[in-house]
Amino acid sequence: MNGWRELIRIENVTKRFGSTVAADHITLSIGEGEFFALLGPSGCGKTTLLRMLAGFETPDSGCIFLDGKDLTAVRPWKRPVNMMFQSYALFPHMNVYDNIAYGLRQEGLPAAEIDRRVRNALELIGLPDLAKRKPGSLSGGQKQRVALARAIVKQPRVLLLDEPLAALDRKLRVEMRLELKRLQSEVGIAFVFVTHDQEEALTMADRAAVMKDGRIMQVGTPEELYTRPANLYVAQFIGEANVIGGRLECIESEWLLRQDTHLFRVSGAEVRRHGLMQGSLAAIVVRPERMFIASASSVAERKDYNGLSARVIEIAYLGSAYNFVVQTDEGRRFFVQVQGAEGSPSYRVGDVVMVGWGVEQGILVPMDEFGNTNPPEGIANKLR
Amino acid sequence: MVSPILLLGPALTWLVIFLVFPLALIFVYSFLQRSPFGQIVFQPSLDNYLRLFNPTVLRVFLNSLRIAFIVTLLALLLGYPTAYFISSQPSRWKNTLLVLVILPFWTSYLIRTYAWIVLLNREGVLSRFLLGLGLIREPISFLYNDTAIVIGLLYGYLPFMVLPLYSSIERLSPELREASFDLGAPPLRTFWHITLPLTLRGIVTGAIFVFVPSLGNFFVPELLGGGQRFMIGNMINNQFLQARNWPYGSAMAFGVMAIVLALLFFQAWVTRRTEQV
Amino acid sequence: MRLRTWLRLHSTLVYAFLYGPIVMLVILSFNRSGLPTAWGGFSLHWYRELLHNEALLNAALNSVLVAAGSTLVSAVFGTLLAMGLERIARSLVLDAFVFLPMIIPDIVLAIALLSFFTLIELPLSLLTITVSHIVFNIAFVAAIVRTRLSYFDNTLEEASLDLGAPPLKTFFNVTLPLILPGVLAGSLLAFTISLDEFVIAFFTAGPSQPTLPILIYSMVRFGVTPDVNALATVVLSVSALLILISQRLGGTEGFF
Repeated sequence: MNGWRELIRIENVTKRFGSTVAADHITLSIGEGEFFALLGPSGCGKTTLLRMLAGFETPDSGCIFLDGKDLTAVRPWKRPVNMMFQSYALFPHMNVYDNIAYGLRQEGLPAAEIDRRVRNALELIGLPDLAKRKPGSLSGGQKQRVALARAIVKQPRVLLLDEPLAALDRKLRVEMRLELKRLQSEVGIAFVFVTHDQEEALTMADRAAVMKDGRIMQVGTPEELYTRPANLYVAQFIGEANVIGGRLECIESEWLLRQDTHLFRVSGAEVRRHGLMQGSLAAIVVRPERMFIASASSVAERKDYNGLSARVIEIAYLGSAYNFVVQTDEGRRFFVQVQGAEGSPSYRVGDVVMVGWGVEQGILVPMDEFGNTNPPEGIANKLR
Repeated sequence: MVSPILLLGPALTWLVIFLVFPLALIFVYSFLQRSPFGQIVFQPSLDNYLRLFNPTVLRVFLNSLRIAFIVTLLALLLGYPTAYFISSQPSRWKNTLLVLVILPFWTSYLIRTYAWIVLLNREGVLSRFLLGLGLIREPISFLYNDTAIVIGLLYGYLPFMVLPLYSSIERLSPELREASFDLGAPPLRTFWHITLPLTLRGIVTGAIFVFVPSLGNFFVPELLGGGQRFMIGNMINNQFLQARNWPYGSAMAFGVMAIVLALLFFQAWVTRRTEQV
Repeated sequence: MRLRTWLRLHSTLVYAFLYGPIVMLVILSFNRSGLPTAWGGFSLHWYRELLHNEALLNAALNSVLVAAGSTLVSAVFGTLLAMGLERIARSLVLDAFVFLPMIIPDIVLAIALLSFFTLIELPLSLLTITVSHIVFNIAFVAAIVRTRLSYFDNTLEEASLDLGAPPLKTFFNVTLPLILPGVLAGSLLAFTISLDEFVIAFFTAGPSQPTLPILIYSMVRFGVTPDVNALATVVLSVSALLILISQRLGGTEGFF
C-alpha cells in the first residue's frame, strides 16, 4: 500500500428503491491503481453502488468524488469512468473492431489514432484476428475480453466490472482471474469490481468492502478480512467458520468465553482488539483448517488449547484434504479440515475423538449487533 | 403419439380448398378475358396486366402507394415514441398501456371510420367547433380528400405499428443503451447508433403491417374519400361488383400481391440480416 | 428529464387520437337531440330505436351465427394445427402458408373466394361467409395456441404416456386443460374478428342476408344518422369486452 493516493471518495451516499435501502450512508475511499472488490450477497447494494459510480443511478443524498471533483451530477457519457457489464452488453450489430472503437469515436478522435488504439487493445487481450467478427460468433471468454478491451481502450480513470466472471464456466473463471490481474497491473487503471464470490474477491482484490443490506460491514485487504474480521457477519461470509457464541469472563487475568456451562479460552489480544469487557457478548470464530483432530486419549489438557471430546458424524474426502463434522455430547458441532494424508484413515464415523484449536487461532468478534450465534446446520451443509 | 399429419390435416385441407384454389383461380382469371355479359372467356393473354400500365390505372396505383407510404411514415413517427414510452414504464403499467393500444384495433374498423365522418363532415364536430370559435364563416367539410383518407387509415392501422415496435424495443437489453452512455455517447447519438439499428426488424415489420392493409383498403377511401379519391381497393371493388370485369380485377389484385410479396421478401431479408448478429 | 416529459406528452396525444373519436361516438349516442353538436340532454332514446329495427336485429343475428360457426370450426382446426406445427421441425414455408391469410390484403382474399364460390356454384349465403371467415380465423387461433404451447413442457405429455394413459386420454387429461386458456383466448379473438369483419363478408354475402357490418356500411354510406351512434356504441362495447376477456386469458400476447 505504499504510495496510496485517493482516487474515488464516496461520501455518505444513500440510495433507496421504494422501501428497500440499496445504499445506507456509505462512505468509502478507493485508491489510484487499486484493484478493489465490492463483495456481498445478491441484494446487498453492491451493484447499485457500482451503478452510482458509473452514473446510471443518482444518489438520494451524499456525494461521489473522483480526483477530488464532485461527480454526482455528471451524466454517464461525460464521466471518465467505464464499465464492463455483467452481460458484456456488446453491440450485436457491430463487429469486434467497431465495438471497441465505439467509445473512441464518441470522443471524436482522428481515425488513425482510433485505429492504432483499437489494434493495441486487440493485441492486449490477445485477439488481434477477431476484429471483423460479430459478437454473436464469439465464445464467452472472447466476449468477455472484447468487453474489457472496449472499456479500457478509453483509458478511463476507473474501470467498473459488474460480476465480471459470473457468466463464465468454472475453469475459464479461474483462468480469467489471473488474466484480469495481469491486465490491471499492465494498464495501471483502478479496477472496481462487484462479486458475490468471496473466493474471487480474496484472490483478485487488493482490498475489498464486504457489504450487507446497503451497508459496509468491513473494508480491508483479503488477509485482514480473513484473519481479523470486524464482526460475525464478515467472519462467516469470508471463508468457513466454526462459531461459538457466549459471554466473556475474566478469571485470574485469563479471558474466557462462557457458553452454557462450558468455558473456552480466548486470546487476550483479540479481546483488546475489539475493546471488549467482562460480560460482553462475543463469539469465537475458528477456521476449519485451524482446528485439530486427534485420538481421544492423545491430547493432554494445556493452557494454550481448547479441546473437546466429540464423535465423528461425517467424513468427506476432498482429494487434498479431509473434512470432518464432529459433534460433542452437548450437541455442539464442529467442522474440521485436515490437509493431506495426516489425519485421514485412522478415524471412522462414530469414533470418539478429541478436537480443538490453539487459543491464538480463535478469532473473537463482538456479537451485540449481529446476534445470531452458532449455526451448526449451515456449517454441516457446507461440508458437501 | 398422434401423427402430425392428422393434426395438420384438417386445417391444411381447408386452406388448400378455400385459400390456394381461390387464389389460383383468380390467378388464372387474370390471364383471361370477359365477355360483354361479364362471363369469363378462355382467351389467355397478358392484356389485363398490360392494361395495368395505362395512365389512369397507373395513377391510381401510384397514388395508393403514395398514400400508403405517408400513412406508414406517420404511423412510424407516432408509433415509435409511443412504443418507446410504453416499454420505459414500470411493468404493471406496460400491459395496460399495451392493451389500450390493441383494443381499438380489434373493434369494428368500419365503425371507427364512421366516427371520423361524424368528426369531419360539414355538419360535424370539427366544423361546428371551428365555426363556434369564429375561425371559419360557414360549415366546411373536411372529408373527401387524401388527408381524410390518410387520417382514416392511420387511425385504423396505427396499433399494427406500435406492437412490433414495442416488442423489438422490449427485447433490447437496457444494458446496451447503458453501455453506449458509458462509452460516451449522449442519448440522441445512442438512439441513432444503438437503439434504432437494433429495432430495425420491428420497424420493418410494423411498416409492412401498416403499408399492406393500407394499400388494399377500399372502404376508408369510399367513406372518407367519398368515392372521389380512388385507391387500388376501390378499383378492384369496381371491377368485381360494378364493371363485372373479373379478369381485369384479378390482374389488379395480383398487381397488389406482387407489391406485397416484394415487401415480405424484403422483410425476410432484413430479419435474416439482423438475426446474424 | 426533458425527453421523458416529451415522450409522455406525445404518447398522451396518441392515446387521445385513438380514443377521442370513440369516446365522442359514445357520448353522442346518449344525446337526445341526435345532432353531433347540440346537446339535447341524456337519453336512451336511440338505443330503444335499435330494438325496434327489425332489419338490424336480423343482421345482428346473422353476424352472431357466422361468428359462432366460424369460431367453432377454427377453434378445433386451429388448435390441432398449432399442435401439429409444434411437433414438426419449424418450416418457414409452412408458416408463411398458414399465416398468409393474416397478411394478404383482405380484398384479394374476398374476390378470390367470390370467384371460387361462383365457379363451384355455391349460392352466396351465411354459409359462404362462415366458410370464408374460417380461412383467416384458423391462423389467429393457431397463432395464439402456439404461443401457449411454446411454454408447454413436453415431458408432461411423456409423463402421462409413461404412466399408462394412451394418446387420446393424455390429450384430454393433460394437454387440453393446460392449453385451454390459449384455446379460449384464440376463440374469443376469432369470434370478435368474425363479428366485425366487413370486406370478405361484403363480397361473399348473399343479397338477402347481410351481416351487421354490411348493414352498417350501407347506413353510413348515406351519411350520419343518430341511431348509428347507439349501434356503434353497442358493437364497440361487445368487441372490447370480448377482447378484454381474451386478453385476461393470455391471448394476443406474443403476437408478433
